[in-house]
Amino acid sequence: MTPACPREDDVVAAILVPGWPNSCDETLVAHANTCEVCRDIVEVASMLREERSSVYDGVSVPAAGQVWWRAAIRARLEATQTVARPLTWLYGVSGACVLGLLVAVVGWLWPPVQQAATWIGAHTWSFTWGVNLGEAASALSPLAQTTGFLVLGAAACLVLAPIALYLALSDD
Amino acid sequence: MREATLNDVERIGAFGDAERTFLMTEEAFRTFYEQTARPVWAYLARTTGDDRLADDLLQEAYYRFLRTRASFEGDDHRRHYLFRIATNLVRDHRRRPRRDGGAVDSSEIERLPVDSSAADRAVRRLDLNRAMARLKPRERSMLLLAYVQGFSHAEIAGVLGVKKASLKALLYRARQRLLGMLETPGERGEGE
Repeated sequence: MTPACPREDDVVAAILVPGWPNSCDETLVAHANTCEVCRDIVEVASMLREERSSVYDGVSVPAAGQVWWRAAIRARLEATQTVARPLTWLYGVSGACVLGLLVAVVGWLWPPVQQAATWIGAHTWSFTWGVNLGEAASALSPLAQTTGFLVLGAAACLVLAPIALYLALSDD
Repeated sequence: MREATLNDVERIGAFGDAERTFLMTEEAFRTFYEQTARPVWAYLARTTGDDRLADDLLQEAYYRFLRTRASFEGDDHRRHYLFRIATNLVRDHRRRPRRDGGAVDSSEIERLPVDSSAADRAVRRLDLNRAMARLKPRERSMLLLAYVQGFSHAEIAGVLGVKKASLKALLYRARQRLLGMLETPGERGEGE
């Protein structure tokens, strides 16, 4: 059980105003000298308040105008960043789409890439299903190629989108 | 990369916007700041044990205070809210790696006055600072709010987020620990 004193609050209130103990109620001062709880309060509060006075002597806080000015600038900057954030996302996604499209178009127009895509497509099917679909792929060549390029473009977009977003959103 | 910056014209415009962004006029802020800046700074300096950090946290505390959408019943309510922000900032800061709060700054010893009574006071202050640094952060805040800022138990409970009913006992324990450490300066506190 924590020791308590019914006059604790009175002692705290008295010690917080300047003039303790000389200009305070004598009975309260006498009580504080005899009561263990109140004596501790007076001791701790006196030390802390004396220390606070010494801290106050040397302290120089920034001017109110300066604090206001900095807060205003910072609020404005944060507002600017908040407004710019959706645009940055939009730039990132658009950039990724354009890059993906570019990869698809280049692949379509470039014969070696076209051949490689056909080869990869045929071997992927073969690997996945355990069946050699090379002949079937060559029979369905135009369709397979078109689909392959679209898949390639979408895959490029999927890979590039996070990278583009990361680059667009990173601050450094 | 793209970076949001303000040009000079926008900076000037920021002043006009500020009074719309903040729920306080500059004039009202100045008055409030003059009344509270020093106590808040002293509180921050004593709870963190770092004057420079107190400077930074002071600016941050007022910024957060200005950005708040809360409505206040009066100046006392405003002041308590500000102290709550300051307490939270100190708490957030404590979660990061910190320097040893119990260590004595050698420059502080070098600054001790030669006059014996002044030297005694300075040594007592040094002991007090060391003992305060060894208290648990919550105990430190509690003692400062109760015996330096003069907050009531209900107000302290609101600022620190503890139950009002248990505050008397917590304060008693904090006082005992502080006095105990001042009697035996070598004791290591649990707060470290």
